[in-house]
Amino acid sequence: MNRYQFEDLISDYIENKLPIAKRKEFEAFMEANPEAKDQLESIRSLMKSMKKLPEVKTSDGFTAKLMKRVEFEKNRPSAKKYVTSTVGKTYFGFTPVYATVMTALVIAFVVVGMQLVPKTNNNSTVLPTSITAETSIIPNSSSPKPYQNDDIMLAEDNDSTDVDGPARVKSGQFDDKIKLVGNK
Amino acid sequence: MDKEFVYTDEELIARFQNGDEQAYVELVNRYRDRLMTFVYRFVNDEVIAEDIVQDTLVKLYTHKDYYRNIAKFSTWIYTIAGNLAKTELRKKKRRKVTNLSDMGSEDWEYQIPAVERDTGEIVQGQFAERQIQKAIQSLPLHFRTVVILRDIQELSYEEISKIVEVPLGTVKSRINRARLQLQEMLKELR
Repeated sequence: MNRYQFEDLISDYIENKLPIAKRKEFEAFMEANPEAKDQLESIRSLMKSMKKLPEVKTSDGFTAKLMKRVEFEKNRPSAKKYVTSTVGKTYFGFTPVYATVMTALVIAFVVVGMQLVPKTNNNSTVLPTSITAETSIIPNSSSPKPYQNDDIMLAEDNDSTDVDGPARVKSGQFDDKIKLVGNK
Repeated sequence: MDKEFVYTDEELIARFQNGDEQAYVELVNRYRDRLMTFVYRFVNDEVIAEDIVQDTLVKLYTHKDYYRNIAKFSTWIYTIAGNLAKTELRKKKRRKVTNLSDMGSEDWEYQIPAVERDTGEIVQGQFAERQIQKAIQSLPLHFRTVVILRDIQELSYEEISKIVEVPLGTVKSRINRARLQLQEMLKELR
């Protein structure tokens, strides 16, 4: 046994918690090292002194002051009460405040979303107006030829700035030149 | 024996949990001085110690339902007091108030009036008490807690292990180390 091992076992020795073999070894070390014995006695004495330290008493007004504080705590709505009361009244896991905010956000999202979605035609085809206009002029072999109302077209020509003059090909004269996918 | 002492601490807290306020008063009477001693030895300031004991006992009132009868009541109440005391010491450290822990052993000698050394047993006892108290303050917190609980409060190793939430072997080792350090500091006292 060396000095460090001796020190590690001092408390166990004083409190009679060493096995007999270890205890004998411990005592043999003390016999051989008088300063180790002194150290042991010193610690034993210290422990006795600590046990003898007087109890520190609370002041005379301690209980009265405590009861005042307890009374105050009784009448104060504590944080715990608040938490339990709010947890009890939740809507889909949200407190009333958060539930209101979430509802408002959902409504706002729906309204904004509706504004962004374009108006649909009767066939529920969601296409911009310009595209629907173009598709309406695509000729079909079975459908009547476009721009058959020449009076309207002529009126349009009169209002336009006709820079090409007579060479300008009038609308409706492409019928025999344009081949559309649908034409057979 | 008076009827009120028939109840164990655990029975009293159970009665208090069921609404018996008198049981609370009894627990306060049983523990206020024990807690005061523990906390005072820990923080070394009677006013602060008393405030901490007050806080502990108010917590006992407001958090009574947190106690579960799986541990001893004393373990539970000492844990609360110990945690509050540690929090207070941390605050104190942050405020950078010079405390006795910062003093060297030469400071201790300087503070003791020479005349007190030869004025009889009482004075010697008081002197020894002050020296021990100062030595305890010099210990690191984890040593201080366990040595107070063991050598002053006389709690079992098992209880201390539960209070400080460290294994039994560590508690034993810390107590032994704390005693060795105290003995080293108080050599001149013998």
